[in-house]
Amino acid sequence: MSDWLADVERALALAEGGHGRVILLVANRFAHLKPLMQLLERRADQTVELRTCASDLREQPTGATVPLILRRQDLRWLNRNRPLIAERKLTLLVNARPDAAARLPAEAPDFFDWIALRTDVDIAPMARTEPVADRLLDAFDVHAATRELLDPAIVTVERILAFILATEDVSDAIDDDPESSENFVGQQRGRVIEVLLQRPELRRPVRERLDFMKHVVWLGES
Amino acid sequence: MDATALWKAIYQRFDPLSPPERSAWRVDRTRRGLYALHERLNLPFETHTKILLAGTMGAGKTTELLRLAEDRREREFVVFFDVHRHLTDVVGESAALETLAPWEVCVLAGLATARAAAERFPDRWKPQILAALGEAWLDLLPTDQRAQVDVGQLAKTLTVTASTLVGGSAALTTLANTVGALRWNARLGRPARQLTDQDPRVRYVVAAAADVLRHAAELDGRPVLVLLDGLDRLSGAPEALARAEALFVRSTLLHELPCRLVVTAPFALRHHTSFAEARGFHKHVLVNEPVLDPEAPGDAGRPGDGVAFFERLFAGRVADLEDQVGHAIGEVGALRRLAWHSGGRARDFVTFIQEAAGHAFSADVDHITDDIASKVLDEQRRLRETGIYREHVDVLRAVMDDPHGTLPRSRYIDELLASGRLLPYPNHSEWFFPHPLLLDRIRRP
Repeated sequence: MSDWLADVERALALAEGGHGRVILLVANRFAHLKPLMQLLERRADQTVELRTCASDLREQPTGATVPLILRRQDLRWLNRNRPLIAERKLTLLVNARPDAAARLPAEAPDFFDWIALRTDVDIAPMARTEPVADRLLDAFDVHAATRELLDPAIVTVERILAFILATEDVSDAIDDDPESSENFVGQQRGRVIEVLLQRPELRRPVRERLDFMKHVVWLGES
Repeated sequence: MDATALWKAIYQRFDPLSPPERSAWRVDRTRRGLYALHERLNLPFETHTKILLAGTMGAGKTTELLRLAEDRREREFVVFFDVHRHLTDVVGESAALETLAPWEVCVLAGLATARAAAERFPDRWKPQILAALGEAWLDLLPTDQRAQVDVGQLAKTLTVTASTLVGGSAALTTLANTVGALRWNARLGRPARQLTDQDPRVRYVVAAAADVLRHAAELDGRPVLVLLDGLDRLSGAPEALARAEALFVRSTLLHELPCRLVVTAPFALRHHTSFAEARGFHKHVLVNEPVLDPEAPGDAGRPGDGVAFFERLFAGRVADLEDQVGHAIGEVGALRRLAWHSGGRARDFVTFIQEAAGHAFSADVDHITDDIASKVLDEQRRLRETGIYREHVDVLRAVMDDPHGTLPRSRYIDELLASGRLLPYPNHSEWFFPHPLLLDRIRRP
C-alpha cells in the first residue's frame, strides 16, 4: 500500500467515534480517487459518494466519511461552516490540487486551522499531457459547466471550447449541480469531446483522459 | 487496556475540534489570564461590567470562556451562547455573522437568557417579557416575515450552557435545541436597512432585551453574566475589522445591556487603534502560551515557561489511563518538543498528540517516543508550509531577525496572523515570532 493511502487508513481507523476530522490530500492529478474510493467503500461496506460541492456537507448524516473535491468557490463556505464538521462528527477528506490547497490559509484560515493532516499523493503524472487540455478534462470529470454557459441559444459548442481553453482555472467552471437540466456543458459533453478530438494537439491527452474517466464512471455507478 | 483501546482513548481525548469534555481537563494558563477577568467581574462598583476578549485563532478562547462559566456559576446566573455556531447550525446562514447588527446581538443575548431562565424557573418565568421582546423584534423585520415568527419557539432552538442547580449545588447545564427541525424563519444579518443606535425601533428592542435580562436577575437573585462566543469568527480583513468596529466601537448598544458581558472579538481588532476606542469595554487579550524564550526564541533547547502548561494539560487528560496501563504514555522529551513546536497554540498541541496517537497505534508501541514526535512534526511542518510564498517568508524572516519581535509594515501581516503562521507572545511586552514549524523554511537561504 502506498504511503498516502496508509496515512489515510490510519487516520480513518482512529477517527471512528471522534468529533470529526479533516484530512487534506494534495494531488497534481486526481488519479488517486479510485484507490481512495475503493478504500472508503471497503471500510464502509457500502457505496460512498464523491462530493464536488461543499454545501453537500449539510446533507451528511452524523459520523459520515465524506470525500470532497475542493473548489475555489467553496473556500469561504467551508470557512464559515466548519462547525458543521464537529457538529456532525464528519471525517472529511479534502482533495485539492496544489494551487487550490495553497489558497486555503489566506482564503479559509479558520478551516485550514482545522486540518489535522496533509498528505501529498504520490501518483505519477500522466505522460505528455498538455496543461490546458489536462485541466479541461479534469473539469469534465465532474461535468464542467459555468453559469455563463447555460443558455444554449447563445453559447455554441465552439464558444464553450474557446472559453474552456482560455480559462486559467477551470475549477471555476465546475457546476454546483451536475444533474441539473440547465447543465448545458454536461448535456453537450459528447459533442465537445468530439470537437476536441479533432484537434491534433489535444487528441492524445483527450484519449488518455477518457480512459481515466472510465474510473470516474465507475465511481458514479458503484 | 490493550494498545488499540489506549490510543483510541488518547485520540478522542485530544480533539482539536471540540473544547475539553471534562472540566478537569481544563488547566490554568501560564499567565493565569482568567484571574484578570475574575478581578474585573468582582469589582463591587461595576455592576454591569463589559469585557472584550480578543485572541488569536486556536489560542483557546472557547475553552477559557467555558472555564470562566464554571468558575462563576456560584456568583452569577451564567449564560454561555455561541453566536457563530447558532448561525451555522440552526439559522443555516453562517454568512449572517458578517452583517449582524448590534441590536441583533442584543436580541440574541436576550433570547439566550430567556431560554436559560425559563428552564431554570419554569413556574416564575413571565413569558410576556419574552413576548414583548418578540414584538419589538418583529417591528424590525421585513413585513413578509412578521406573521411567521414565534419568538417563544425560536428561543428553544438556542443551545445555551447556563446556571442550574444539581442537588442543591450550583452547576452548569447545556440546554440543547428542543424544537428539532423548526425552521429559523427570522432573518438575521439582513436588516431592512442600516439603523442607528438612536432609531426608536432599535431603542425599543434593546429595552425589551434589557427587560429579559433584568427579569432573569430578579428571579435568580444574582447578577446575570452573559458569555457570547463566536463573534471573533468575523473573517476576511479589512471587512472583519469594519464589522468588529460596527459592533463594538461605533455602537454602544451592547454596553447598555443590564448584565455582565464577556464577548469575543477578532484578533485583528487588537492591532487597530479602534480597539482602544471601544468605549465601555474592558479589553482582554488571550494569546499563545509563552513556550518560546524571548531571549532565544528560535532555540528549541531553551523553552519558555509555557511548555509546563502543556505538560499539565497532557498529564491531566491521561492520568487515569496511565494508572490503568501502569506506565507513562509520553516521553518527557517528546512531549516538550511537541509543546515547543506548537508555538503555544493549544489547538496545535492537541492536534500533535492526536496524530502521535495515530502513529503509536500503527507502530504498535505503548508510549509516545521521540521518533514518533519527529514524524508528527515533519507532517505538521508540511501542512503549515501550505500556501507559503516568498513574500510571506520575507515578512516572517524580518520578524524573526528583529531583536524585539516587532511587526514590520506589510500587507501580509493580517493574513499571517489570521492563519497562525505569525504568533504573538505575552512574556514581557507583547512580541511576535514565526510559528516554530516554519523556522526551517525561513532559515533556508
